Amino acid sequence: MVQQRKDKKLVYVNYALLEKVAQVSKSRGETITKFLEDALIQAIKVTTSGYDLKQFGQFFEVLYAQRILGGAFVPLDVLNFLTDTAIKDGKDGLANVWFESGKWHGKYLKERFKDPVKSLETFLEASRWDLSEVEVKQVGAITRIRCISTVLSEDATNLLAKFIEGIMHGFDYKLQKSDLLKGLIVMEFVS
Amino acid sequence: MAKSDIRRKTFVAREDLLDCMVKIAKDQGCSLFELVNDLFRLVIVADDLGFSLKRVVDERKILESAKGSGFVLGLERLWYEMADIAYAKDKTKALKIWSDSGIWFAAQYVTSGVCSSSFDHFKTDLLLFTWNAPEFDFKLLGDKLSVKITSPRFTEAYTFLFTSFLMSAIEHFGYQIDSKDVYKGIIRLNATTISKERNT
Repeated sequence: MVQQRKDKKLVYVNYALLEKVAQVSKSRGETITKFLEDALIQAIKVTTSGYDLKQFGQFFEVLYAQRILGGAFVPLDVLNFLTDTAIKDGKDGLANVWFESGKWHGKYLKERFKDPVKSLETFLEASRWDLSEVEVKQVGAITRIRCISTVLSEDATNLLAKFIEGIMHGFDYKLQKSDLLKGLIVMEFVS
Repeated sequence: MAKSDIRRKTFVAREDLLDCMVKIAKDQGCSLFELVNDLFRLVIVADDLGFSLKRVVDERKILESAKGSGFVLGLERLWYEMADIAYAKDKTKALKIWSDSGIWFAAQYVTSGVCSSSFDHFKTDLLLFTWNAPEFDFKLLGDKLSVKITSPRFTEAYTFLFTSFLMSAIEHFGYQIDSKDVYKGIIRLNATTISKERNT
């Protein structure tokens, strides 16, 4: 079959990025033209599925980090039951388990990401879709974290807050202020 | 750095693909330059992690499917510890909750209306969500189904709870469990179809 010749067009791109991509294509043994063509096809797939490319890249990094950290999926109903039942066994003990898990996550994210605080936002957005809003803001020396969920119980909110505190502790931040309500977490940290 | 300070270069690409990208950029309210730069950044990130862009794109299915199926992603150690506590505290209820979740999970596929592939979709998604188990083998041979799951990290409680989830899901597809052999970190199930309608 004779391949139909497609028309070509020129497009501008950041020089430094193109240089890096050229290195990647070379390391994979592909011509830059073929490599970029495949990349464009994939980009169209991604964006037509409703993602923007920036968000997609961040999500992938989080997914990768979760694989490394031993991430596992659990049905939300099961998680709620586990939380409710386990919390009756001793709030402090369970809170400590979540805090320690957070600290462990934090240590890894700090090492893995250039801006670990920013990665926390993506991390929460990608893995906890029971949160309807996640905001991580840095104002001067203060880092403010706000999470909102319409489905989290009070206990689940407190445990998630402990997990976040653990992560921030792993980043070497200290908790300065914490306002917790059922489904609402507002915390401030200083480095 | 101001936008005008960025050093630019051109590359040649297929017109049809670039036309698509122009449309996407317009829909997203950005320029083609910004969109293509974002794509290049994604290629670089993927390469840094040792993946091709295609693999990255394929992996998006995991998060999408999990979200659609009501699964939350977290640290498995944490789930195991909580499962141990809940199982020790109220074994019957814990098993029931996991079993109900299994039925709910399977029901999404059974009721999807795509009979010919619903069990395959169920199997594929379950395999994706159980990435923490190094061995996950689902074999269909005629009307017989055999499931082999092995994970050295599963606690005893988690193994039994997950078995409850699996059995209910499989039964919801019209199978009858013939035998089960469950031990900490090891799940072996054998089943036979009793309903042709659900699992074809």
